[in-house]
Amino acid sequence: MSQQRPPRSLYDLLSSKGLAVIMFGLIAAFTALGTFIIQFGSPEEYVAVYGRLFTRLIFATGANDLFHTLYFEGVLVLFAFNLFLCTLKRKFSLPKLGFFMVHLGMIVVMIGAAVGLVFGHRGMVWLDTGEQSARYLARAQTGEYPVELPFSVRLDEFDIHYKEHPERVLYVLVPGKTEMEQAALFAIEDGASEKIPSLGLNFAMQILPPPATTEIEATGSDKLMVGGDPHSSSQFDLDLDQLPNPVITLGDNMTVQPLKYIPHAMVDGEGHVYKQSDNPINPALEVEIRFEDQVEKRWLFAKFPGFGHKEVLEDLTIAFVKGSESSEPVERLKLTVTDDRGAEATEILPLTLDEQSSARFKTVTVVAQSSMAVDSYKSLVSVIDGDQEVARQFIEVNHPLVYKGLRFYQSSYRANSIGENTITGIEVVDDPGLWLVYLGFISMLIGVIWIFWLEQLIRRWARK
Amino acid sequence: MTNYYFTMIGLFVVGGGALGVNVIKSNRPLAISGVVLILIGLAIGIILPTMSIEQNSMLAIAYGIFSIAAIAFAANSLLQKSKLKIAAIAIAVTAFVLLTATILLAWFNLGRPPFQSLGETMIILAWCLTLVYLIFELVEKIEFTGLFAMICAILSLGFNYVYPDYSTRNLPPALQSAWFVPHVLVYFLAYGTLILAILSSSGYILAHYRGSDLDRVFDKITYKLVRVGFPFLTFGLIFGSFWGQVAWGNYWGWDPKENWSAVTWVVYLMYLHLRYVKGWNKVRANVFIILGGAAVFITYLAVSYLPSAASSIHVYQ
Repeated sequence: MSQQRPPRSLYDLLSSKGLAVIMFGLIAAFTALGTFIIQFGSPEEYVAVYGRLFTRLIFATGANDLFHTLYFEGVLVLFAFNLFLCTLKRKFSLPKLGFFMVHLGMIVVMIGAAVGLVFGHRGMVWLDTGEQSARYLARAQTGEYPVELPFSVRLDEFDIHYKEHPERVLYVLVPGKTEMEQAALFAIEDGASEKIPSLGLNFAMQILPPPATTEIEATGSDKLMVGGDPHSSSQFDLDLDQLPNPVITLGDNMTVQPLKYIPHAMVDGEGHVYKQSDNPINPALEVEIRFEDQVEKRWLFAKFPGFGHKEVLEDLTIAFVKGSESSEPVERLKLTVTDDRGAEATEILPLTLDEQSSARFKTVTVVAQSSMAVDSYKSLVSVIDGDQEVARQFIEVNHPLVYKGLRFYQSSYRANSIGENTITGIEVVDDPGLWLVYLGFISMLIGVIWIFWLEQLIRRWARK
Repeated sequence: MTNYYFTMIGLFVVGGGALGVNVIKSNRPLAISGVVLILIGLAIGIILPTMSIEQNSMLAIAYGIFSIAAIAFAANSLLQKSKLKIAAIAIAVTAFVLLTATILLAWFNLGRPPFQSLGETMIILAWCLTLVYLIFELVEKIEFTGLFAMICAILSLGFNYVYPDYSTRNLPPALQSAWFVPHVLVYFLAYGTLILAILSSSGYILAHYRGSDLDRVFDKITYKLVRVGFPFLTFGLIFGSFWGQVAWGNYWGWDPKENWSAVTWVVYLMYLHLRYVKGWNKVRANVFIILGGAAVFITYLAVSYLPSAASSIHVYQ
């Protein structure tokens, strides 16, 4: 069968620079559009941002996952075809080496990406310290699916390094503005002074030493609060080491008695509260409430004041306030805000680690935050192939482990059941097209240098 | 203070426009008003650092010298004295050296490259812009206005005074990479070069419509600038992909900032190809340089305000 050459005009069209420019325009337009439309959002998000009509249009056209739509991929395929024909049209010569390297490089990158998309997998494996696994959960548009590894990986150790000093920052918030549009963000430093010209305010900072221990005790104890409005509610000190505590009388015919305390409470499927650990992760207090002839036992959760069964006394608001965990007194920020007219206001904010404290001034609210920022985290992972340990390496951000073409990246971490960060999240990438992508990129880099810089230099040199 | 900054930008735009028209068709009153407007803008610019206390004093001095260089360039555009121009270039070199020292000192003090926050990169942008301008002025021997370069540097540095920027002392894990410095540096060298190309392509369009012979000169300058800037843009894109692969196992994540950097790259690619397409190789091709400048602006600054920005791992907070 003789090969038929495409019609001259069609061939010319498909291999023209004009079509290339149109393809560039389409790729740029779609890519830009994909940044104006939220990708992979929930329907509610789309309705809130774009309204109902546009949301319907977005879902009908698949623009909520625009970069995987058939029409976008079609544009890329047509572009690759056009690029290929344009390259084919040119006759090779050494001065045109750059042209070939860039154009072929781009084609190779696209082929590599397609190979990775079709034949590759990408997913996560979560490993607790000492745990071993030979599979990971890969992600697809339709959901997750398990993929078997041709070997297994074991987490031997998980390390988190925090920065030497806590990071202390001060947010200055203007009413009506979101956190993203905040007026300013400063580092809290002793003796520093920051001016926000747009607000006409100056912030002078002074770090005060920790207060005496007695002051802390007064504010750091465990309490039971009864009533509605926090200002009018009554407070009762609790002694969690001596439970049950004595009966507390509330008015004429109501009593409350703290019965049990669980530092790390969990609720099972039937609503029963049980103890998970001794770490104060989810502190809960059981109280017995008596009102006239009614008796009710209720669990109160310090971190979830609204949670719990209210079978009998629905109107009664009762909350368990767990005192500060840190018995260590903390440093405080003395913040003096001065406006353009010289009016001054001062507030003192505690700089407790991993907590926020706020103060309100006339026109702004400030939030002081102190946290131990993570400096780095890494997982010591062993690869077991057959019966043998074939590799052992620390994986951290920017330092993946590569074995048999599979790549393992430090991606995330989480706490185990007792609140210790021992579980590592490792991203597993199986991309058989990656070497093609790299090859294409390197070819493009050399090609660009050749076209725009070397070619000119060689010409100049030849002229001389 | 924000008002002062934007008034300064407005004065530069109007004054620069007047000077641009003067370049095409000589008109002395127009040139004088252009220079006066720019000088008023610079006067506002000079008082910006004095309105903000506790700022880096070395940076403030560099900023002041940039302003003086700009005044010298503005005066030269009116008087066209070669000695004045040499003086202006010498002042610009001084400002550049001081800015280099400021950046190196910040690098030393922070113990990391000062390339992290928006404010820090604004300083890098001013540095790259001045470097590119000086190389083109001194090495390439291209008669090119330094006023625009100085004004861009002033606006870039002045941004820090209007929006004081806090940067954390340490880099987050993802930024602790050997790719960090080359990726950021090549991008800002590209941005600096391509921002200068906006001026020459605008000059081309103005000259073309006015029937001036200068259009060829401007076209040549634009192409030379793109020939320098586009490879840097390509390096930035590919270095970023290599980095993404090493850090997250993903050479391309369809992140809004990545997408806009691709759009920017494609727009300049369109310019490079349109130069060979009949009927599109003149004004239309040069319009793509201005569109490319807009794409650079979106990639660098405006991407944070897009609906998809919340999911981005790249945008400046």
